[in-house]
Amino acid sequence: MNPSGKSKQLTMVAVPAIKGHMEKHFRPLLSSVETTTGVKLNFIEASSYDDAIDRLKDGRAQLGWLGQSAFIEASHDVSLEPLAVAFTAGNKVSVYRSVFLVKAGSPYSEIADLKGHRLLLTEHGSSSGDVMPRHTLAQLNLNPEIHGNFSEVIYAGSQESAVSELLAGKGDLAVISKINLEKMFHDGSLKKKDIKIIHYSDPIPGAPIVAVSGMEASLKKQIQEAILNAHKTGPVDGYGENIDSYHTPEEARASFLSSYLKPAVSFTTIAFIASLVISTVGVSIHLKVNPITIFASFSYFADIIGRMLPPDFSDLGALLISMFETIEIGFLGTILATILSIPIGLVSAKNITPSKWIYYPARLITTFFRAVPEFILAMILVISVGFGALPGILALGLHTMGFLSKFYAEEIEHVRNGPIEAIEAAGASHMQKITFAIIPQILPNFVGYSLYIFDRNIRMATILGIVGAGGIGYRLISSFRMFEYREVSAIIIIIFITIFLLDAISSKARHAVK
Amino acid sequence: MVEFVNISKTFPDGTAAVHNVSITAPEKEFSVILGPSGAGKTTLLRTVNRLVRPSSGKVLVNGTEITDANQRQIRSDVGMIFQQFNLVGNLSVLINVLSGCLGTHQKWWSTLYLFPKVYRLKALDLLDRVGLLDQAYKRADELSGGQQQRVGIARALMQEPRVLLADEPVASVDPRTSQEILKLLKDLCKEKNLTVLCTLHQVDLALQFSDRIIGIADGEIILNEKSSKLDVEKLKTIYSSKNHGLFFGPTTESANDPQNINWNQ
Repeated sequence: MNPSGKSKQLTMVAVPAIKGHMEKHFRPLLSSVETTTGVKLNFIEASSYDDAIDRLKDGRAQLGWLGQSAFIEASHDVSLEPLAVAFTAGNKVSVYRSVFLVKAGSPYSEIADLKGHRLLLTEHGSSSGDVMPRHTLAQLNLNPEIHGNFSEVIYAGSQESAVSELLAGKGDLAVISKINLEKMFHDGSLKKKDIKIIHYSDPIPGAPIVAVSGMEASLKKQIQEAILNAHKTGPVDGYGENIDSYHTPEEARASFLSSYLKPAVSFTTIAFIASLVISTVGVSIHLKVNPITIFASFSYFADIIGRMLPPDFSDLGALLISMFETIEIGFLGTILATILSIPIGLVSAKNITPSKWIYYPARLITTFFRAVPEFILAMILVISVGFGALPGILALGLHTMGFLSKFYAEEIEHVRNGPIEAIEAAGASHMQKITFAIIPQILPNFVGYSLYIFDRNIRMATILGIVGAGGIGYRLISSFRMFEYREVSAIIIIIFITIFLLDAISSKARHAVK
Repeated sequence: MVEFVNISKTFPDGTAAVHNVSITAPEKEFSVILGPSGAGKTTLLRTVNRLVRPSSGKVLVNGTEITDANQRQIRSDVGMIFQQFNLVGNLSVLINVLSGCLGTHQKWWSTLYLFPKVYRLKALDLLDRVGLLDQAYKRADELSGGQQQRVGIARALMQEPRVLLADEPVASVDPRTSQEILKLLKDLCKEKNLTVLCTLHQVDLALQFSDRIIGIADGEIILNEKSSKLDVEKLKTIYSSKNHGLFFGPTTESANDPQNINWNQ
């Protein structure tokens, strides 16, 4: 053969994606390649997808355009090498989509409405009219291969006939390529008002022009180069919208994947961080929070620390008794909160409350006591029941009841439903359901929360003493008022050690019940 | 290639999971470690990337012995997928896949989920390979079990491993999905020249997909042969002396019937 490639002939076959028009779309590119390489290029529009594959298989064609799915399909039988992929203006790989059509005026407005009706596809092996629609429908839980999803699946033979059969009432849902749809609108064979688009598929990457692998390497390379450079000498076309050039399969792959790239940091994230920064600065300015003031007052701070040292433990016995009293207040407050919160928590859980007439008042009570700080509760109670431990206990008990009830109710609302169903299925009563399916699930967290509240109540009880509700807090505020700063520091140390120990104990205990 | 040399593992509570195992999983083969639950196959598998430290013996990955000193380096060469998928449920599918390359991508900003574009494109490419490109920005826990396992596979491939460990990869998915997942693993083994070590307890699946079956029972190797030379009958004979609920597929349903179980065994 002539090594220069002159007087050579090759045949390109294309699948009938737009019946009768394929040559028109590919001729500009082929002419350009003919001019550059001197190879004469014949063109054949195959009668079907299978016909196109057969021609490549038995050597009647050496170049081909098969569409995406048929290319992959054919690769099992015949060794093909992708040469180039069409790009649209803007240097993006050409992608297209399947469109899901119903007749205008039909009662269907979404895919799910079509369950049990008739599906019109174009042709076996077509990407946009067969493979992609099946994939999309399967993802929407309407896999055409599963019996009952569609009463009938019809291959109309081509994209155009799928539409005409839809209009003729031979099917209820037709799926074709968006490219063909646009073309039909454009040449007037279909009017926009006659059909309704109810769904688009994910993008389908533009298919490559392929060569059979058996082709002489230098010739293959020559043709590939010619295709890649064709747009420099004149317009190219192909199957797709606004095709303006051809690029290598690797570039096409990267471009297709890039269409799925999103910015590494989303706009929402940036907006969120920016608004957080702006409001922090804004609020600081509004409240006249000046960081310099903190450094400027350092000397005063050093002064008071100096006066607090060394700590004065001369009255240690009395201090320890007060501390113990504080622990007792916290303890009784927690017992009170737990006892109150069990019934209130149960009735304020949506899934087991007996009635909304109980549910809403219960929620109201818990919200109220959560909203009023125990400090305020204690002040009111000191006035009504007098100084001492009792107002402290009541204040802590009521306030933390509000918290515990809410925790329990939420815990109950989030139990796994499976065990409840199983117990119900065994014929259990409402109460049995609670004791067998709900309580065992919430018990570990129930104990955990109560321990946490105990821990917290002891810390709060020290503060409550300040308003006269007994314990070490009372002692603390007295020392302050009498300027006995060295005793103040002793009290702080005692409180610190106590809290430290309690914290360790309660975290151990919480661990044990998990 | 993965070589086990006299591997034994006894857990602190005294359980001897693996006893003096010496076998080789050949390069670029899909080897299935087959055995009933409790046979020690997961323990054996986990010694390869040192999630389990052997009590004695050594493991060689591509000729290098894995030790405390080089375990991080070796691990970056060994991908792993898990029975329960072990995805981070409330991160996106894409970030889950990207997390596979954390062994090599150690810039400080990777801790803020930031990855260069080449990595993100590669992750998308792998997601496309396992058929989940359109799910890339969903939360991982929104996917079905089979899809999650495919994300797990993509994550393991992200680190470009030479060895892939699969710990009961299909124990948490339905039979049809099991077929798909194992088919995918087998295809990837060929495509990317991976040495795959996969534990299974389903005899039929092992026969269908593996190149080699390594049979294990009570922590000892009882079989190591090319799958093409094996059939169900032979395997049944091998395991019949110690039937521990090994799953032989639909033909042996009666074995699971309580009436056929000898409770005094």
